[in-house]
Amino acid sequence: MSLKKVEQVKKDKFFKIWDVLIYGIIAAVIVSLFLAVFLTADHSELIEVQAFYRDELLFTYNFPNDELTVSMPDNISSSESEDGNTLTITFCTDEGNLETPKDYNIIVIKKQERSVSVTDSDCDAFGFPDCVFSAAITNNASLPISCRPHNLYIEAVGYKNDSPILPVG
Amino acid sequence: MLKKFFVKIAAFATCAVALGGTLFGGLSACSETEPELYNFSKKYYGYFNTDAELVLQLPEMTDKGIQLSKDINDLLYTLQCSFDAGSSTSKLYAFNAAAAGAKVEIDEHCYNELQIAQKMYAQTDGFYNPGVYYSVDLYGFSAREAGVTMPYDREDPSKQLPAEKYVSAFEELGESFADLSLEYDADSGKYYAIKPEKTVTVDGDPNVYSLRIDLGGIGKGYAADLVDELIDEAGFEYSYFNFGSSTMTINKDAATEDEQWPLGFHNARGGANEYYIIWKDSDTSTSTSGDNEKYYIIDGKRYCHIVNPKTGSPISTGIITASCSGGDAAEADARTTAICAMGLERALEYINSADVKGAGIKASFLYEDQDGELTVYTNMEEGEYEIVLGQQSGTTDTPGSSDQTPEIPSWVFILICAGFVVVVFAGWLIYKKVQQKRESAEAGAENEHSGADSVHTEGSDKDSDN
Repeated sequence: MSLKKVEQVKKDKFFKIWDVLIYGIIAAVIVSLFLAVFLTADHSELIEVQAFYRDELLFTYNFPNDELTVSMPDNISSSESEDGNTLTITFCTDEGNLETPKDYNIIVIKKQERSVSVTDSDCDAFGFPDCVFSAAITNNASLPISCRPHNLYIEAVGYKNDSPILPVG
Repeated sequence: MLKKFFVKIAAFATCAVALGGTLFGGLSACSETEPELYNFSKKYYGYFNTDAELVLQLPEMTDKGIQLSKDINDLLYTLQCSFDAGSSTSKLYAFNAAAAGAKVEIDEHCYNELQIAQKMYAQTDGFYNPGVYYSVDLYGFSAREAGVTMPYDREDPSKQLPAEKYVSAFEELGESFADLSLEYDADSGKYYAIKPEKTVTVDGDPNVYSLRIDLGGIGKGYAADLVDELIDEAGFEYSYFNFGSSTMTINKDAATEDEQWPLGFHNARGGANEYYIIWKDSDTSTSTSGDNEKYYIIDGKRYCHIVNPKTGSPISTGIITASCSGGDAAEADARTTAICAMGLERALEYINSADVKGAGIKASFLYEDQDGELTVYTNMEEGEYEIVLGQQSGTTDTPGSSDQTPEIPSWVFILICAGFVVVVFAGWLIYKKVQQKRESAEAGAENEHSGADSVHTEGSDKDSDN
């Protein structure tokens, strides 16, 4: 490489000015959109959760009324802690049974904290059941908890975005 | 130099635009007075073999909304026990099971609904007729209890059509709905329905068939009307109740300036998100019926769940979907079912009649000719609706407004603009700094170069001297 060429390369800047501007703008847009999505989510207090098994309603729990409504009693058993603050729901699939839990999920509802989480499951997930490791549902923006091997899905009942057009039919 | 000038101009222009946007966004935010509303949604599963949904637009979730959603659940359960023809505990089931001529005690809801059915039967000249129970069952569209079989059941309903002798017998039986009479005993407070004496028999079948009623056509509408009363009593002005997506009662829409809901009516020959017509309405009920809800195809012909009472067979009038808004939801349900059965000329006459257009009811239907060409007919004036056949939802504006574009909250706009401003300024400062360094480096290099030149010149002079 000639000396002239070496000097030319030395003089060249690592970033051209417009590169910096474009990267900066992209970064700003990404950050803004992230903040917009995160901050516009509905973080209001959890009022009710509902759980589905094979797309059928399994149970709902209403926090203000402290009311558990079970739609599939054969698949659900529940017990309350002595202080009344924790409701433990044992769910089992149609293939399992509640007597000697098999194909089960343990769902814990903490009434004062208003949180719902899955604390135990024997689902076949190579020792890492997503449902157990999912974050607890604590507000209306919380992600749902799902256990795909057991077709279990738990979500907050709350707000949703609507289409600008109301479909009929 | 010219290039630098243009770069600076561009940077300043970007900054100016971003700052202007920020100011505009800020002013918009300041001028916002209406609180942001959310949709509280509650779903109900399995009532009348379908799902329902309550949506309330609220500034925040309230226990009052939760209580309303529970009251609605109780109401739906009560109604199911009253007039679900497929439920063995319902009053309507008891009526259907009774012998011809029997006087059967029913409840108030069942009584009210049968009155509406009689009214709509008369208004539509019998094109709405809940007496088609057996015809609907014959074609396999009723919600029968599990394990119940009938002599006319087909081995393979997806390939075989029902026997013609049953089609004509049940069509004849359905006409006896006109002879149904209702009684209310004010002293005892009891309600009765008296079954017509008419019976039919079919060759080779020992059964004697008497009138049975299927209120599925208006049952959801009747329920939706009562739910709407509950919503009104609870004071939720911005809301709607959707029963099986084909029947709705709507109040106001907080998301639009005129507080009217933009309603999109599905194209029966389109995809899930395709409408054939859109119009706006509020504080009313709406209904749509179509041959795409439940159907099967045998030898290329579609057999749907809507039975034409005049033929005893599924509709084949070319009217593939009918929609209306206005009046009660129960009546709207009956109206759209009847329009599908009427045929083009009769349907046009009906939607422009005093009972429909004269009563302020908006109605439209989609007609498919023998070549598969689709045409929309409506009783509305131009500008009140928009025909959107062949368009995907979201690509259309609702009639008479342009306020359906989802608005980005002002503060998001401010945030983005502020981000742009910061980045542009930072970029511009970096650019200036780098430019200065480069210029000073170039100046230094030039000085060095010119110094070297002068030394070299001096040396040459010396050489030449030598």
